[in-house]
Amino acid sequence: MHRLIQTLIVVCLLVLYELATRMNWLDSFTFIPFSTMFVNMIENLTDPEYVTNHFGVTALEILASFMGAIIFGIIFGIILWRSDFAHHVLQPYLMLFYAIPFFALYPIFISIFGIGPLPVIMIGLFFALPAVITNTAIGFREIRKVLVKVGQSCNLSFRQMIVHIYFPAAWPFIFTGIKLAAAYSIIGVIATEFILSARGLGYTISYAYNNFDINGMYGSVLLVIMIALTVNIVLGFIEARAYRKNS
Amino acid sequence: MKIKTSQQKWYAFGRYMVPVAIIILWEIIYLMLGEPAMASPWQSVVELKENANRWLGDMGNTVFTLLISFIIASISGVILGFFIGLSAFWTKTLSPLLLGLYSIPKVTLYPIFLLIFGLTLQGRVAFSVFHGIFPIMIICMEATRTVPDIYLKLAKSYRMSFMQKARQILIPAIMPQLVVGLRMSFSLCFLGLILAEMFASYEGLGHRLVHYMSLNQPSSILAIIIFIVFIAFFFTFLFLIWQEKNEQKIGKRQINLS
Repeated sequence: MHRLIQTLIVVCLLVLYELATRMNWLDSFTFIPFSTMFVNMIENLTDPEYVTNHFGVTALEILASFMGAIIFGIIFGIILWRSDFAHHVLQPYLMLFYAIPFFALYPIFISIFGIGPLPVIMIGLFFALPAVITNTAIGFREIRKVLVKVGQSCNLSFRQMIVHIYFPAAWPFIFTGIKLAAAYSIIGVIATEFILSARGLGYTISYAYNNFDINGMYGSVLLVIMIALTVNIVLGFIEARAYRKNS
Repeated sequence: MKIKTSQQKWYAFGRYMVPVAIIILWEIIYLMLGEPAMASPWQSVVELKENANRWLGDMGNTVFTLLISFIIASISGVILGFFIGLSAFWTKTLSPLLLGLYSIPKVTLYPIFLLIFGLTLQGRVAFSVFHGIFPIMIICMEATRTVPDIYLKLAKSYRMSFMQKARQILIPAIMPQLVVGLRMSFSLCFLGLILAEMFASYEGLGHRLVHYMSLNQPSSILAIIIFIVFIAFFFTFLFLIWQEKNEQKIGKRQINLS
């Protein structure tokens, strides 16, 4: 029932938009029909130069920053779990982190890491990192005492504890962090490319906008939205399956 | 007891050391990279002091735009979230759609706002509202839906009208989460505004930032970043104080926005 109405809402909005643009209710210099956007997106994707220079670069950057955020985030999260000192000292700063408009640091990152994909990856990584750190730390810190006691009464070694008790118990929280990291690294990478880079999907959007290529712009915008939604749906699906297995 | 206080002193000391560590790291990066690429903390502070008067106009402009868009985003987000949250059915139907919208990189849609509004204040306000409205809406919706049943029963047994119920029961019950949502929305509004100003604008701090980037003046860039971080922290602290007051009054409730 929910699914049905959700699909209905989305389909209705799309049809309404399509109609509004086709019937010229909306300004045709500003809005183009959804079907045209879609065709543009496909056209863009069949262009090999676009795929290797922009789509591929962006996909790699997102993947690298996402992976980096997961690895470093979980490591730092574990440090924050094992050390009370680190937890109490860093917790308030982690909360403040998202208040800073982080993209402002991009020029500094360029001077540190040079031009190329590295500064973009670093922005995406740093943007996604605090979400993973906080969620990992919360996940490990809020493990129910009972579970730890079960492990101890079975005389598990620390490594066995991690594999059988701590990690499975903290996993839902960590996965929430990973989901957020996916969204944030996509946002970080695309936004950096959009404002200040010379390649990648974000760049194609701003380039097309600056050259009054409305069709190309909407094609890339749609592609970016599609990527974000697909990643979201895939991770949601994995999460739903993992929960079913656990409970 | 005595051990605990000395431990807390350690924590507080550690907390103060973090900014110091960041400044030292900054200085090290400066020493490594050298003059044209990077500026030292001291140079940036001097730059900030010298140019503060010139930047005040831009700061005023940015803060003014930010406050307008935050007020619009919070009021409309709270109202929409509240009314959707009243119905469990619509909450369940709409929340995946809203979470999907929340996760897309909204910066890419800024050119569309530019096409509609042009290079105007309205355009930046509209984009900033769009950028910041989702967390407050989602949090408010969830909070309203999860108000404990017993509160609603109480309202029923007192035969409260809807307005009374909203004022005496629902709004106080969702207040703690609301403040957290407002803080997140504020941060996102600010981020959206800075991005919008960086991409295309002729005024505001984001514009200044891009201006100095093209001139390659790291000391000015860093000084503006200090400025921006200061504004962000100032408002965030206000929200945190408000949140703490609420928590003292009502007690803590878990919030999870994922």
